[in-house]
Amino acid sequence: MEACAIPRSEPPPQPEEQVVRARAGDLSAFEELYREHVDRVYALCLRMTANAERAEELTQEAFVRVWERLRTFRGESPFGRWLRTIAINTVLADWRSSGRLRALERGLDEMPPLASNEAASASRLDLEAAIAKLPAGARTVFVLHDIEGLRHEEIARLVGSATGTSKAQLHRARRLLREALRR
Amino acid sequence: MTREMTPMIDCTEAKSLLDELVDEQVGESSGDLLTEHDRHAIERHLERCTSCRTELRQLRDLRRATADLPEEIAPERDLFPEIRSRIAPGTVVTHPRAASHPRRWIGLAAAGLLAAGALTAALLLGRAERSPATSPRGTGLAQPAATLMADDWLVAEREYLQATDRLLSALEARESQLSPQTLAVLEKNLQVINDAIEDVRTALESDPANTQSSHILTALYQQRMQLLWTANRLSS
Repeated sequence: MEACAIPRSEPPPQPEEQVVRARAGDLSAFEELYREHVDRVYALCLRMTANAERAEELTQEAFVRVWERLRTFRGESPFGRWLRTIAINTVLADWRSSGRLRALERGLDEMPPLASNEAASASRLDLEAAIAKLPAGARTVFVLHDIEGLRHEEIARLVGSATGTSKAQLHRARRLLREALRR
Repeated sequence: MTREMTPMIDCTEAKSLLDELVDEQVGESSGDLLTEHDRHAIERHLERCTSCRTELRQLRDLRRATADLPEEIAPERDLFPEIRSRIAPGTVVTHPRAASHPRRWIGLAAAGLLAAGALTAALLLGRAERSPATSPRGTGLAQPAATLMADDWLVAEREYLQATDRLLSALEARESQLSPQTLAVLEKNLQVINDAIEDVRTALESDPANTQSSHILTALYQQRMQLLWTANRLSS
């Protein structure tokens, strides 16, 4: 599950030496990896959760898991991809434990009301705000597909749903976003 | 089957195919491709349907706007101290060289103080500093800062101090749950942070418009809250 590819552009190549040192237990090397990747991981967690405090906690949890699993990282995929896949799984595991994932899997999560004063322009902040207001299931698929670049098959495998559910959630997310940004 | 031989589809069917079509058209298809049959069908429909063409244009705009979103968003605070406390409890490490990004430098500057050396134990922060209602700037300052610092900064500082006060009160109630070694580390680090806060605030006295100093001070407050929050979690 953690080997799925995320075909987005990568940050500058990590010096292999950092990963090797961290894998050997070098905490300062691990901190260097953290500093290099934390903004990308936090962005992912923030967009999936739409909650800054929870995103911080899940970012920390993801890095703890990365530290614990570094020995299993063989370098077959870029470190950043491996790390982000762990982060995605961390968020989904959190939802699983809270029961939210079942709603996501069924695609039955309730649609929150959109604010009546949505800005008319599709500026970045408007779009970020509109993404944050999406229902959890639609938001997750939108973030993973349109921002992180995962395929529907990969999303379905991670979430444990059907590919058709992922496509339906994406369709729903895009429709809601277009409606929100038109207001 | 040629394009002309493809049967006509209605708007409902067409709209169900627009997502995949737009992914192909913006060149960021993630591999979820249309079949040739579906592509012919949607293209024929679009030639005749203004509504679906409008929807396609909106989808294309959305897809492009999404592609322009930043891949990175910086968290509001340095998250590594807690990560470090979880993966290597009790370990105080030397931080790596400062990164080029100013925000990171601020974070490292604050966090780096934790490793600056041992001072006298000071679990209990200055109570006067923790009384924002009467003295929002705390103690040990040469003159009131309210006249020197922007109102919004004072409000933010007051909130930091109030939050710190709550965390400290909670920790005091559970102090017995922490080992003497943990308490010693906590006391030492709090003292270092407190001293740094004092130094930066003194610097702001002479140069209140220095935004770098105010950013460092913010980072130090966050560092102190983070430390207390972590200690609370360990003691709960």
